[in-house]
Amino acid sequence: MAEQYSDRVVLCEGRGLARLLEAGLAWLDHNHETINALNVFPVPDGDTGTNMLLTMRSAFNEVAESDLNHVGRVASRIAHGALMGARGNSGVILSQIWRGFAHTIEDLEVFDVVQFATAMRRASDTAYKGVVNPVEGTILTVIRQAAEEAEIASEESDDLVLVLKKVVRRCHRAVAETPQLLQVLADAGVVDAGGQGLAVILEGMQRYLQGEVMRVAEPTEVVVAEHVAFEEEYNYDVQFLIKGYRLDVDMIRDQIDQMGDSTLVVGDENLIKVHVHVDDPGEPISYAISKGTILDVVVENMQEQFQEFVRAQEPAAPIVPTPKTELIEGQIGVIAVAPAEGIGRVFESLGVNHVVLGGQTMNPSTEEILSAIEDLGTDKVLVLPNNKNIILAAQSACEMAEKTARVIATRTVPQGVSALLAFDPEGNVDELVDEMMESAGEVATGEITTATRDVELDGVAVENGDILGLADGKISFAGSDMLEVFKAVLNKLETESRELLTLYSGAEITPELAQEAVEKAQDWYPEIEIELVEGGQPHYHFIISAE
Amino acid sequence: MKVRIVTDSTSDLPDEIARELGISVVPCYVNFGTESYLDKVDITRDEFYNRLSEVDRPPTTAAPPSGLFAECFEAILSESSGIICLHPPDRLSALRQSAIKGWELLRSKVPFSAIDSGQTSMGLGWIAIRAAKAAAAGESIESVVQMIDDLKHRVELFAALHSFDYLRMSGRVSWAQGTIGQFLRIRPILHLKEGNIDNAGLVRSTNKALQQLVRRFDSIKQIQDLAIIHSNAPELAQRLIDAIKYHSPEAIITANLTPALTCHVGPGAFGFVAIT
Repeated sequence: MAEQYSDRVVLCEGRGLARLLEAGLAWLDHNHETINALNVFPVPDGDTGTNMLLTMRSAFNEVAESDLNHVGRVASRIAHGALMGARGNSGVILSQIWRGFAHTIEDLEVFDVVQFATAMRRASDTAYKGVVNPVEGTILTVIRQAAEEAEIASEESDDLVLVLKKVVRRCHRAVAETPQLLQVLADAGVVDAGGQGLAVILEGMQRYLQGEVMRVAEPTEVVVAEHVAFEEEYNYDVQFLIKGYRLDVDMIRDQIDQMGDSTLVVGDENLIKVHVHVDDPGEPISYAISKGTILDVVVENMQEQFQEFVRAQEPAAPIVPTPKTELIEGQIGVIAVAPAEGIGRVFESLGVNHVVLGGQTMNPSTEEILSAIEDLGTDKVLVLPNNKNIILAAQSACEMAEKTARVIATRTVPQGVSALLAFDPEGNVDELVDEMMESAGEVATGEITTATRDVELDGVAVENGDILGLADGKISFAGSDMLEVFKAVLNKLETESRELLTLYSGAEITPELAQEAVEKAQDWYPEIEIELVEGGQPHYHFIISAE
Repeated sequence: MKVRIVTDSTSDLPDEIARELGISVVPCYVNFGTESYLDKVDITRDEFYNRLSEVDRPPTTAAPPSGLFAECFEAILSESSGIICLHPPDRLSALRQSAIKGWELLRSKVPFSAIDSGQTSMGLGWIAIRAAKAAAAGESIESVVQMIDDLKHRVELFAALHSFDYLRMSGRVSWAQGTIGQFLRIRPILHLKEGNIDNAGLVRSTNKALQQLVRRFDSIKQIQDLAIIHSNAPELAQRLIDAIKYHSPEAIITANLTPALTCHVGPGAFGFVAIT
């Protein structure tokens, strides 16, 4: 399969698998915005396409510069990369798919269609096991049907090209059927985003096998080198090696030179070193991939370096460190995911030892959460994801950690705050999980955001651009007036029977508007106590806690 | 002649009870900036709360000078077979030290004991009441001191504060320092026993505070004496009384915190003191 233009492929070796992965990544990159648009809720929340793309990119980075050709070892590296880079629920499930796939073929030098089908089946089983309550009409359905099709097709043909083609066709059918299996998809008028992501990845692989050039559009790695104190005309400094067979150095130099300046192309017909300044680093890299294998890719953003250098020359503003809760050996540590620094400060004031920034659209990866767990100066750790789309990644990180680590499955920031009230660093880990979950359940959460598309959901007609109000995850009102939506959400949260309302204002909310919201709420509910916190979270104008 | 009991205004003893049992109460100082007032002598409770709502920083407190203690002792010395002075924990206040210095000024031969009660508010108040009753019954100073030493370990005080602000600025409780409660309204529940103030829970609403106090109350077995305490929040005190369903509600003493204590916990606090 090293020869991509052949008609049939019966065996796949390690380098071939890496190229397939790259093709899947490239095609996902090309399509990820479309996948993002498939969110059930028309809110800018946990973008599935982006999460899967970042997971795939992390997988590819493990093999991009490797010359390994043992397919089992390549697959293991891919699985490791996917696992560490997994973000969001779909990313975590995708990483489980790779894990199951890699596990089956780990001892193989090469695999054939039958082994491919076995690996796909294992991938599907592993994905199902990774989810506490598997739901049909999701990426799980798609991987299972893909595995079934691989089994059927591998009995009829030994050609991977053909088998993969059938698998992809079946995947697209499975994706199209997801709304019939899952009512929320039908209600929202979308297909499942995670399933679509998987279908796109496999389609990218198939396109590559059929001879299409799958270009990686973005740099796979950014390494910051020494500061450069001059302004460049081009933005990126790109360096890499091309390894191949009968490479034409002069022709490659001419081609590369047309893409930018400061071109340096040296080497022989087997190995070429390329150095060039360009605006689009994808261009020379994609070109090089068409000529052979590329190695040691270094992409530096020269504008960024210039800006950094300039900033370094200016006196820095004094930074007031946020006092962190000191951990004493043997105590339980807490890690919380926060969508912005303002909310992170609130968590720290409640005893959180480390805040992982991320949340709405930028879900932190399993690796980020894992390294936070490992870095904490204690061997007992609790993790608060504070977002429903981060719970799986947090669970995955806790399972991988070499410490006693547990997830408090908080779905919102207010739930995280409420859970922390029951935290006791001297307590018992398992009892605390129950007590903190119970405490988390005692608060109601409202959210106000802007709709990202038209939809009718939970009986509410929503138009793209509407201000959208959610009460405990359900759409309660949509309209053009922020305060009107705010009022409807408060009503849904049964504010009249509450005591305390906390408003976390978003990054785009001016202090005046926030103050107006507080005053209005006080007018509507004269008895209630209202506090305002500058949350600073993106996309969500207000996060509301009612208790 | 009998043993006489002296305490300070942080005992929150209702005036009529103190008068009835012959307990002398020495007032503490409350300082608004550089203006100093003797607790409930120079400033009434109403005046205090009015001032409190107008200032940015909570007032501070100070132990009364030794001279004030000396005056108090002198007034009762001729009719005392001994004097027992009861005060809050040494780690929280200098009151007992000031009392001892006051006593030393008198160079009297009358037996004297200044005791760290491990308590304040009605925790201290109940110990003073029990001690005064024993003294009135003719007990010797040794046996009254013995009784107090025993009683000290059986007093529990729980109080839900309205916020962390006063406790943090008071600086007397280490776990209330830092940023806790600075960004969000957090109501700490304090547990005072044998001189230690522990964090007995954090809540965000009065309803939760009430629930937690009732839970704590229910976990204490064989309560002999009970007081409900509050800092200018009689309605919260009443809700707590209604919620705990104590077997003899008529025996409950309800005490409004003295201004000197309110300086450290803030208005709107409520809780209970139980002796087992």
